[in-house]
Amino acid sequence: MCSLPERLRGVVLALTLAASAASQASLDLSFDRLQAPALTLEQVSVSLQALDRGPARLRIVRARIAGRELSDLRLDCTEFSIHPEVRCRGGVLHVRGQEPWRLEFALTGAQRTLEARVQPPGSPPIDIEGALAGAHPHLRLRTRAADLVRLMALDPALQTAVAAYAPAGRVDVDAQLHDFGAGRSVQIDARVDLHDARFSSADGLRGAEGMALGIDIRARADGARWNGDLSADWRAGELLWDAVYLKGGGTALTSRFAVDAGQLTLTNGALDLAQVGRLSFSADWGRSATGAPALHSARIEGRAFDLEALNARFIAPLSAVHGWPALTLSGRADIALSVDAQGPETARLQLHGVALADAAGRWSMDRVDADLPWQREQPTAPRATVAGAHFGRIPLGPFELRAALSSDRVSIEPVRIPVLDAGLRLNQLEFVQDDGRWRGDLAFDLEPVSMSALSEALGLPRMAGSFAASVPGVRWRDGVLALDGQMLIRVFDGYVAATGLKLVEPFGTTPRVLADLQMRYIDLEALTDTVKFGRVTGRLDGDVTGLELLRWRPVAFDAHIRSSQGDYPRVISQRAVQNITALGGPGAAAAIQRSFLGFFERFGYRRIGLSCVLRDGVCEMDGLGNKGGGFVLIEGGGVPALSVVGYNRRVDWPELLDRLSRVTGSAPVVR
Amino acid sequence: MNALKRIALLAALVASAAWAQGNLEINTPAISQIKSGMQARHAQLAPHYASGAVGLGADGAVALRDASAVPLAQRQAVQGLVAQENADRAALYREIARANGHPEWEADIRNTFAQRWIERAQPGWYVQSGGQWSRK
Repeated sequence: MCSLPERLRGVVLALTLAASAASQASLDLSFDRLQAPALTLEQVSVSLQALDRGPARLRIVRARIAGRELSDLRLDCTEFSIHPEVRCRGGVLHVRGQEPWRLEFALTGAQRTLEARVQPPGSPPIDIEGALAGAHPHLRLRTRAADLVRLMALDPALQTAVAAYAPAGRVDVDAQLHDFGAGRSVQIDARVDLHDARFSSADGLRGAEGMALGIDIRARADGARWNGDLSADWRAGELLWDAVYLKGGGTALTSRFAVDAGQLTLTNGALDLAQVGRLSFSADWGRSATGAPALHSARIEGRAFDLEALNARFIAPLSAVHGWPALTLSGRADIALSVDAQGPETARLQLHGVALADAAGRWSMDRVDADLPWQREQPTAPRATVAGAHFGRIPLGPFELRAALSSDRVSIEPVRIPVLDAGLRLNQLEFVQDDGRWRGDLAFDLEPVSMSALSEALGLPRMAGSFAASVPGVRWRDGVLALDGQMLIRVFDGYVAATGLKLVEPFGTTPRVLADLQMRYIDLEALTDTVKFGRVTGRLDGDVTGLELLRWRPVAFDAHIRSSQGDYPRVISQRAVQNITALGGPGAAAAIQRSFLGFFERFGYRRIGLSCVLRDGVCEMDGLGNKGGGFVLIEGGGVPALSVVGYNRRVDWPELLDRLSRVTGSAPVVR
Repeated sequence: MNALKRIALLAALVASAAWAQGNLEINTPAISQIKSGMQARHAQLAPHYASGAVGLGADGAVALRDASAVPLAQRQAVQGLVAQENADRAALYREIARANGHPEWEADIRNTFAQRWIERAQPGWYVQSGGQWSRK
């Protein structure tokens, strides 16, 4: 009698042996149900042409293999034998709705040792070997360069889930299944190597190319739950995910996991980012009320991240995409983030010895140590110490910032920031969210800074006196920084007052400054000494109305300067006269003869007056009054008296700036 | 209506100048500065208009409509170009409205420009109409 597999506990319904002739025997077997671990076959019928090594046909009405149900299976073997082992050679498996699969197998001995080779259509063969029975049943499944698309087609739910990303690639699989069967905990040990893998979203903003990824999974079943370890090593390829572009190599992930139908938990997770550092994480997904997967909680922590590498790989590319200014960064950072079902719950950024600078060189901060906590429900108190900073060419000394942070308010405690030989007293800096919009308020005083220190820092000629400013209130509303009232700057023994000062979109494409300026009682001697213009003694008042700077350059103003009222010495040097004359260009002339000028070093004057109305790059000039087709810039008085008359009323503004830099930059020689 | 005609004329002039390096001047320094920034960027954007990666939107902005036409490693850079171009375009519409003394015209100016950019687009470039992209 033929030996039926002992472990195939089936019920033999009918067995007919129809031996027609001695030379040929045919056998028909039917089984109501055959069961093995992870395998149930129903209504199985076997037709043999011969008892040994003849063709055979198996029909299975319904099969359940590893939880997957198939119907109407037919296996045709060109050479089938039952004894001493169940063997099928040259088999072709037909499954309804699918192309035929090649299948060969042999099942031997008491342990039901299995050797099989399955070849799905268009795919490389899958080798399966192991023992289905005995004390340690096991199966090993191996395939090389299998088509990822065809593999995913085996799981229609997975295929649908990732269809929008059109994944493709080749996969090597080496998977082992241990200890399956009733009363045992199944264990999986799998190595999956993905190569030449790619995917792309329809808009092309999420995609990967040339991916090589190795994944190791070890897991053991505990009832309906799986517990295990996962590790993934991204060896090569490039990945774009919205604004983040990454190149593979050195990026690895490991985690413990537990998963069942309703929950996925990751613990002891670690993500190694090449050169940047290691993120540790844990996360817990469940199902929302609608049954969709939902993140319940997550914790992410990173220590001693290298900010230079982080900037190069993540921050700088993100800034470029959003059009934000590029930064240079170095130092270390610790980061921590916790998320619950409502979203981010707490976050903390700690900086250690960080150097931070605008890539364009406009500002920098050195040795920043900071603890910046944030909590969704609670106010926090961030603080930072800065060892030194630069704003433009102005160096700032060490300072410490203490802030109060809540969901709708950020404020900084009053602080004194050393600036050169003085200090900037920040009396108020506060941002408040109101109706979904952020508005800010700022107030500060600048203690008197010596002009000599300031001019040296700015790379200007050394100046005398001091510079101080008082700014009682600046408001930030909808991209406009506006000064309340007046900003007063004390300079050259007089003052400059700015009113109506507005900065429109200072960080935007076209920053614009609007202001009106009043200058009063400016000491000309101190001014002309410092700008190396040639000495002029006297006092000056000025008004600049409708001043408009675009991208920090003047594009419009009405400027009038004139001698202050009052009694004071009024003397102008020969060199200053020459320079004023040079400013007027070739058309301007001193109203005295050169020969006469040569006799005197200094001249008396009664009044100085000059106006410039800047529009469309042209300065429309005027003076104290008209004289012989020109306009009087300096009206002579005393002995020796001197008048200067200008004749060129329309001066190209860039040309005027050029002349001004020439006369102040290099000392003219008066012969 | 006169106002809108002036805007249309202005749009025609700026659109020509920004793309064709014409000598037409719009007389505010802000507009000139924005325009020169856009002209400089145009050389970088033109191949992406031609490949269909970037199209001219119906809203007067440009849009990254098919990033897959650009190699993966360059897609970020193109996203950056598109962001900068749109910042300049928004500033341009705002400045023209402001320069004409009517900040409230900004939306009209944007619409007029959107039509002009599309009319002036080269054959083969993608333009948007009624939410749909088509190849000119």
